[in-house]
Parts: sequence; C-alpha cells; structure tokens
Amino acid sequence: MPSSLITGHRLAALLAAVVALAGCDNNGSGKAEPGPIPSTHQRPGDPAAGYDALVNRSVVTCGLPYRAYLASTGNPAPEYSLPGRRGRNAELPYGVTAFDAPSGVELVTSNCLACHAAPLNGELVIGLGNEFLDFTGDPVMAVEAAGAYVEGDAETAEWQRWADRISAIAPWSMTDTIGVNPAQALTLSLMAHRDPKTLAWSDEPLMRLPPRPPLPVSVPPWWNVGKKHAMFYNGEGRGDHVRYMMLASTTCTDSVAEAREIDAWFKDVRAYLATLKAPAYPYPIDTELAAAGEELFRSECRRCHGTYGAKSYYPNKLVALDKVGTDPKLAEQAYYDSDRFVRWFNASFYGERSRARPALGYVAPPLNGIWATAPYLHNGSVPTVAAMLDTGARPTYWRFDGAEPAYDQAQVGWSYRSLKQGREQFASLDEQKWVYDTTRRGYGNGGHDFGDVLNADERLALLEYLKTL
Amino acid sequence: MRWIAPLLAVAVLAAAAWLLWPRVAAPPAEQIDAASLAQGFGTDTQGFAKVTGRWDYSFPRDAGPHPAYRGELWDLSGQLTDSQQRRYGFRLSFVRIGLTAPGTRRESELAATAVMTAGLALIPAGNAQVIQDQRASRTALGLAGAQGAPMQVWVEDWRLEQDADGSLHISARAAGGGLELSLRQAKAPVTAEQAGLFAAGKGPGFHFYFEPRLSAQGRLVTAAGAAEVQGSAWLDRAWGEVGAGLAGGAGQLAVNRFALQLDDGSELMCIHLRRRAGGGTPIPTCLLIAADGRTRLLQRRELTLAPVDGAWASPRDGTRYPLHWRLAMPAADLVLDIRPLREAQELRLGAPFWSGIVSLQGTHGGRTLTGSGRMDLSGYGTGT
Repeated sequence: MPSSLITGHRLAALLAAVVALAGCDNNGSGKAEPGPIPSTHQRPGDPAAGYDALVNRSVVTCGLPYRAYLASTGNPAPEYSLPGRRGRNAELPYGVTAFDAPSGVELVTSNCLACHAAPLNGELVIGLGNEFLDFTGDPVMAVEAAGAYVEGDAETAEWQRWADRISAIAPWSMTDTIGVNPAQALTLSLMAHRDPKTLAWSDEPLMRLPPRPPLPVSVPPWWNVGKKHAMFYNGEGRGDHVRYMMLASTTCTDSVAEAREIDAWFKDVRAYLATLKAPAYPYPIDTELAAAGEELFRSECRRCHGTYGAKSYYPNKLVALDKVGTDPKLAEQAYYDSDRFVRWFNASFYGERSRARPALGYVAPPLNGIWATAPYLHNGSVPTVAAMLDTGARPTYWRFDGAEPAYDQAQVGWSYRSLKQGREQFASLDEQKWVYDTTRRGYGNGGHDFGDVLNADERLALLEYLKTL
Repeated sequence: MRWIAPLLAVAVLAAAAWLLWPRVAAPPAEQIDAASLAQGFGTDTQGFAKVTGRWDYSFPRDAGPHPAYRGELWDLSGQLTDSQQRRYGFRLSFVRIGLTAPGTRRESELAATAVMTAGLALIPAGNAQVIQDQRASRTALGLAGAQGAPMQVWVEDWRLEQDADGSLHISARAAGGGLELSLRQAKAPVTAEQAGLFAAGKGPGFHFYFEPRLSAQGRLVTAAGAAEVQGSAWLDRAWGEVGAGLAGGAGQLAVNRFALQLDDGSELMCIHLRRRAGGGTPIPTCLLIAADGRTRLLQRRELTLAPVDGAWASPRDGTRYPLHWRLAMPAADLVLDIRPLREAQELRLGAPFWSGIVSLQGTHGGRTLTGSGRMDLSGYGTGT
C-alpha cells in the first residue's frame, strides 16, 4: 500500500479521534478505531419461537400475490426439506415465505434463508451463506412482468406496491458476478427513501443514493453471530443486533409501529441464530497432522482469530486496513462516503439501541465452519483456504464450474478453475458473470499474507487443523 | 424470459381478431365474430390439444394447419410500392377456429369441424380510400378450409397457398379492390424457440413462428385501376388457444408489438410491456434478425423503445394512441423512427386496439435506412 495512503488513513483516524473527543459527535457520525470491539448485552429471546418465526413469518411486508406467484413460477415443489414449515409455507421452496397482508391478499416474498441458507451435500444448511446466487438479472423485468398474472383491485394494489419498491432499488440490487451479494448497497438505497424518524417512504430519494455498482460482499455464516460483537465486516453492526438483522424490513415497513411489531418477534429469531453450530467437516481428517496444525495456529493465528475447542475465546478484533491489507474499498466507502447513512441509522428506530461506527479496518472473523464457507475474505475473492495461506497461490481470474462444484479436500474449498483472462474473453453475460476478476474495484484478493511465512508442510498441517473447526 | 409468454400470445392473437370489425359502412350480411366465438369457449380445451412443452418445428409441414388445436392464425402484412412510387400497406389474415375436436364423427356433408374467418385491408399512403373487407365460413362443402402439404388456406375466393418450392401466393378481392401477390421467402422462419423468448416448457398458450421477410410482387387493384406492385411482407403463424389472448393485454399489463423490416435486410420483432394503469417501468424487448439470419435478443436497458410527440385521438371514441415511436439500440448501432403509414388504422375489438402498417427511418451501423412494418398497440382505452 503506498505510504501516502497509510498516512492519510492515520490522519483521518486522528481527526476522527479529535472530533470525537471534542464532543462534536452530536450528529452521530462517529467513527471507530481498530482494536477489540466491545460487547453489548443482547436482548433475550426464545430460540424455538425464533426458529418457527424464521421459517414461517416474513420480515418483508410486501410481495407478489400468491395466485400470481403460482402462475408465473409454475409452483415448483420444495427441493430441500425444511422442518417446521407450516401451512402454505410447507409447499414452497425454502427461499420464499407466504403470508397474509392486512389487505387480506396472500403474498409471497423472499425470506432470509434465500441468502443465509445453502445446500451442502444434498442437505439445506441454515446459516451457510449461499455463494452461488445470481444477482445479475434485472429485477425490474421480473416484477413488472409478474403483473400479467395479477387480477383484481386488491391484488393489483399489493403487486404495484411491491413492484414499485423493488424497481426503486433495482440498480443497487444487481451485481455482475455470481456469488457476490448486494444486500448492503440495497439496504442503504432503501434508507435513502425513508424519513428516519417516521420510516415513511418517499418515491423521491431524500438523500444522495449509495454509489453504483455495489461493491462485492460475501455472505458470512450465521453460526458465528453469538460470538461476534459487531455483525459486519468493517466492525459496524454493534449494539443491538436484532435491529440490524431486521433491516430487510426497510423494503416495505412504512411505520415505526410496524417495525416495533417485527422487532418483538425478531428477538426470538436472534436467539435462535445464536444457537446455531457450524457444520462438521464431512471428510476424513488426519488427527496427528491436525494436532501439529493446532500448535501452529496458536502461535500464528490465535491473536486475531481466537481459540477453539474446549477452551474457546474469540477476541472480536478489528484489524486496521494497513495491517490486514485486504481490499480497502468496502471499509473506505463506509468510512468516507457514508456519513448520511450513519446519521440516518442513528436517528431511526433501527439505531435506537445502537450507534453505527464504521472503521478503517476489517474484523478477523471466527473460523468455526471455515471449511464450508468458501470463497474467502469479505469480498469472496480467494477461492480456498489453501490460497488464503499462500498469496502466491491466489488466482487473478477464476471461476466455479456451475453452482454445485465438487469439494476440494486438499485445497479446502470448492473446486475452481484459474483463468488466464478476465470477463472480456467471453461474449455473453451468461459466461462473463461466472468470472471472478480480482483486478476490478473492490474485488482485490491481496492482503492477509500472514501465511506466506509458512513452508509447505506447515501449511498442510494448518489446513488440517482448520478442517476441525 | 418465460414471463413474456402470455403477452406475446396476446399481441399476436389480438391481431388476428382485428379483421372481424369492418370499418366500411355496410357490414356483410353474415358476420362471425371470431373474438367472441373464441372467448365463448373459455380456456377449457374441450378435446383439443393443449400446448405444453416444446414444438418440433418442421417446414413446410408447419405452414399447414394443426387441427388438433383450437385456434390457428395465418397473418400476412406488408408494404408495397407501384411504378409511381406510391406506397400501400396491406393485410390478409386467416383464422381457423375448431368447432369439434378431431376424432369426433360428423355425418352430414354440411357438418363442419371448423370456422374460418379472413380479413383483407389495402391501405394506400395518403388520403385515398382504405379498402377493407372480411369473409367467414364454416369448413364445409369446400367453402372454406385449411390443408397442408402443400399448404392451402381459403375462405370462399380468398386464398393463401404455398408451392412445392416454398413460395406463397395470395389472392383476395373485395368490393373496392383486390390483391394478388407471389411471395418468396427471403429469410428463414424464426420459431418460438429460436426467438428465445420462453424457457423450455413455459411457453404461451400457443406455438408460433414467423417469416420475417418475404419478397412480394404482383398486382393491386383499387378504384383508380390496376397497378404492378412489389415490396416485402411478414407472415405470423400461431396455433393453440385463441380465446385467452384477445383482450389486448394480460392481468395488469398491456402489450404493444412491432414487426419491422429494414431496407438493409435486417428485421426486428419488438414487444413493449407496460402497466395498463400507467406508472412502473415499461419493458421493451427486441429480437434483431441480421441480414445473414443470425438473431440477437436485446432487453430492457439495452434499448429504448418509447413514444414521442403527442398521441393521436381516435375520432371514433377518443382513445389516444401514441403513433410515433423511437427505437434506439446502442449496442447494435441502430436508431429508428417509427410512424404510421396513416393514422386511422385502429380496430374495435372488445377493447380499443390500433393495428396498422408503419414506415421507418433511421440509421443502422452508421448508414441511413428506411423500412416498413406493422405496429399493434393495445390497452389505451380508458374504459378497459
């Protein structure tokens, strides 16, 4: 990283500290420093009720009328079994939920599991981020065209409401690479249309919209939320986690009263998520090699990533950009160009029990279930754990061969193909969208070079140990 | 793109019904309203084949009728020029509506398995009289019929038929004029699958293909006399469920369709979806067929297709139709200005519907060009 940039970061951090100390923070645009992230007591909830709510209730309060859903999709049967789905939901694929709107119309909408659950060896794993979702399609076409199947005044009103909202945020809901997730950008674009105090929707944005295209973000696993003090990669998402988790409600929740109703049951959802455990590595592990790897882990990785097993400890450490060296764009955008969103959040119902505090750094994540969550880093730019431990092994251009690649036990991650060139070698978007191009803005795969000091044998041992987490 | 299916159905089949509403003063004594007839059958196939899955298109077989299906359409339209450079739009359509499913025995010679309707329009550019007429008959006693191998479709003395070499001939005469044309296929037919508008098994209620360019020549007769004419034409073909598609839209959407021929040998089939009630984001989709026959689908943000100028108000009922459109496809280096050959080419189905011949001007690949085509506009009536 050029030294002038490092100086710039330090200067900005210093200024932020001065501003904070001077008490000029009353508009809530405070920034955070690298270092340990303090914990916040989370409101208790009922995990069993939370699971039931997760699979049967909807945090997004608009959707496509059920009859139109049937006609336009052909009503596909669920491919994976999801226990506890009741009523209509038992007939639907896991990523959509049906519910009755106050208007009396039955609606269908995407749910949290669409991104936060994924098939693994034929089973649905709740909490595994889906790294093969395709957000390259234009949602406007789909939502407008669905109108062909909508009849009657009540259905039409619901469809229009949903289609208008989706269309308003469409540019921030689209990416051009499979696997990267636009949730962060689309949430900010929703905020830009709402009054923070009343949550009332405005068709015209009330503040400058987030930049486009969305920066690439990889969906992190849910099973670590119990350990994490901050929910998001750059140390944001501190304070009350429930309010962040229910931010999808900014799509159609137009009143604080409705938001409060959702919060009342979402406490239980958070309590359920905190009980999730990482899936165990399903292939053979060389326990002797893993034990040697554990020694290495303690000396090389523990300080940021914590310890695991019987006596586990997770430091919740936010590591400065110039130390971890990974692609800075996500953290920088949140730090330098997001004050309006920080202010919005802090002034709104969602920020009632929290303060948004972006930092110029990334949190070293818990490594439970790391074997299952390829590709790696906040932007999903490094395909395997082996490549995480050896910057020389990281491909500049790479792709998965389809949405269900084989697992590579040696590299610890999904099988992938290194490419000689980027997207431009392909004529059609259908091929281009598979290419992960690490030369693009936000897609960089540099940094986290701490494994480079290891020799090949040490890496093998460490990899074996990581399979046990 | 599977969502576009029912709307294309609507666009194509709504066009079929147009011929049933003559605009001349004296309607024929016997008038069959195929639109109402078809809608009367509802969506129950009643022994006719349902359209599911893909169709294995084969030519010349599929030029002929498919009596297993309830409804079928042969719709030919185009633009002709005479030796004085006067332009004429023309339209000749045949619709077959099955009355009884195949396999049902009928004893009488008068028994008919289908009804055929046909419509003719000759639309001179300028102010000369539009000639329009229709025919209808049951397929009994040879009065009307549709056969394949080789294809022949006729209602009384109006005929559309195909030779062994694939060329088509039409002949139709009405009170004010008539048309005889020979048409040669200048481009291969484009099937529903080739157009790429539907996912497998998720097509509309009918199968379809179209011939995007036929070179036409022949003889046009009007009150002013006979003229040798030549030009180009477009043939739409579809078979399946007719009843569902005649409302000029589906659900909350209205659809406009454009079938355009450019004088550089390329064609466009465009569909423009919008909300009936206004608002939302209209979605244009165009299939561009290059001179060498290769096709390319452009959608939504890859093109703009939008009305320009004010709208034309129908003197009949005040419905306002946007008749002047602009199409821009930067990725194909194409810009087109679309205007009606004449304004008054509307129809009266259940809902107001404008369907007529258009003229084109623009640039493609840096060269200026002209062209002609057909535009179908639906969903503009306020009472719908």
